[in-house]
Amino acid sequence: MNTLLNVFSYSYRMNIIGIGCILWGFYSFFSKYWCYQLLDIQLISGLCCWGLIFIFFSKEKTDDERIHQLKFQALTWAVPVGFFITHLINYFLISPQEPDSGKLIQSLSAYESLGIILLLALALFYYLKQRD
Amino acid sequence: MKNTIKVERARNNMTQAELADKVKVSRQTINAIETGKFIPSTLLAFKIAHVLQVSIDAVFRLEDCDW
Repeated sequence: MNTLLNVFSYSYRMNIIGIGCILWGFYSFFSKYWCYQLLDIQLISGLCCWGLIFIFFSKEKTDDERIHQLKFQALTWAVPVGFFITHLINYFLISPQEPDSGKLIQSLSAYESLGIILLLALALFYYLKQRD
Repeated sequence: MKNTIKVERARNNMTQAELADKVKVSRQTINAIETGKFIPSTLLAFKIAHVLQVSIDAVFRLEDCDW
């Protein structure tokens, strides 16, 4: 059944682009560190995020309704758990303690948070796939 | 939901992989359906019944716990 907004519409080959994005992120991160001694977390997390998006949302070799259901199941767990982890990191490790807690609004970036969620989703998806 | 895919497959002398190939899903999906771990969509259920040359209600049957 083909519809305009098909589920997981990226082709299987987009996995390669995803892996490429992650490798590019690591290469850029380390080359920047070696050249300028800069730890650019935003750069690596942004590119890894794109990579994970392409990997998770692209089709599997045999893409059928069971795979779609497993991916959806993985997402329904990964989103709240990932968000909870983000919240814990923000609360215990990043947010300033009282009395300065209201002054500085600092938190994990959207890239990092989405990266955590997608990593969880991917791990859970492959676990569910292997289990069945 | 109970199903008799395994029996019908044996009757048609067909492996899981052959059935999977004919209905365009993975062998693991057919295995998951047979063992009751995955309930197929109406479309896939009709395809399976068609390939096994039986009516859909001969292959899939509701159980009391499904209600």
